[in-house]
Amino acid sequence: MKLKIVYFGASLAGKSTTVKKLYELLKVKGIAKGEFVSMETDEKRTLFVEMFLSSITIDGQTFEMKILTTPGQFRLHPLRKAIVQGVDGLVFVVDSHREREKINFLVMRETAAVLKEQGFDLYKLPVVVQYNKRDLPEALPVDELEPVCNPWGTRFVESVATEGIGVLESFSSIVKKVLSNYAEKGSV
Amino acid sequence: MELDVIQYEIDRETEQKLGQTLKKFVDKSGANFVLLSDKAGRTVSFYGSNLDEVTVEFIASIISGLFGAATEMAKFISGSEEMDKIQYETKTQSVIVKAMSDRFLIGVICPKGVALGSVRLFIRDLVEELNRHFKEVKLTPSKLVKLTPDMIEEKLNAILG
Repeated sequence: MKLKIVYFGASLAGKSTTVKKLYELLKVKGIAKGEFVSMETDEKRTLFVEMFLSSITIDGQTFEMKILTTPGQFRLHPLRKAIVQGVDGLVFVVDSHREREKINFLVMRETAAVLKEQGFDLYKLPVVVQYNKRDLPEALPVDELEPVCNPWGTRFVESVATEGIGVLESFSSIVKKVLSNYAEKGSV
Repeated sequence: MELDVIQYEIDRETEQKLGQTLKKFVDKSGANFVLLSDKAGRTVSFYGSNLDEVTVEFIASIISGLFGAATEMAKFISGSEEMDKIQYETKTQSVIVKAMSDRFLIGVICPKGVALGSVRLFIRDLVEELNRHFKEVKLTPSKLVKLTPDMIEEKLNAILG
């Protein structure tokens, strides 16, 4: 089974850092395949996509996973649309900084609109919310972020991606949700 | 509640037919490489260029993204959502990405010296042949894994730590 997992969120929320850290952690565990592919601008901002492959075997069944990030900058909206095509599960990386609260919400709304255009309902897809930058003094309490950033009432993970904290947890949570979602449907 | 995770795969016979058809295309057209993927960038089959599967998966993602981005550009320019193919050149190679139905993409890489007009004709034949194979496809459950959500979590925890 081949799964497509996309990390989305506002510009500079920590999507790329999360996915790079995840690649490093999975590489150590021997379940990341090949290289980390990155297409970025001269300023080290994601231009198109960052991605790597992972493979997990459960009870003899191998799940091949492609993990991708969307570019966060507003101007790259058309490229985000291209990346989320056929997605199986999403991790919403939220910037916890209090000044970024509104932009988090706008990105979520934009993603919902993009998916709707492609025939998906964001609110029915497997999603995990990752509250990043929890180490910032200006970080909003999760209780305040939840009503704005987690309309699914889904499981959330607190992270400090630069240190790798919470990165594996959010990945594990989304894989579990995607597999459970497929299992409930009874087929792939 | 126990849940069944089932993987459906293309039956072996169809898989072989797809592979043979792609090989035949490469032999006839002079292309280096041909890839069949879905629009989300998942590889279905490929032939040529001695590339490993991981690299091919990356190429499939990039082709999917390029095609999607070109479609968005077409919408801005002409308002059209229809995108049949994109084509571009490097110094030594030509790349063609062709939509097949609304679900699949065919990516072709060929040396610059190969006549693209004839490659496009061969691609047309390729699409027809692949469509015939897909009409005959039999989806067979290849593996049944019975898992509860708790079991999935437990097994993932064991793998991921």
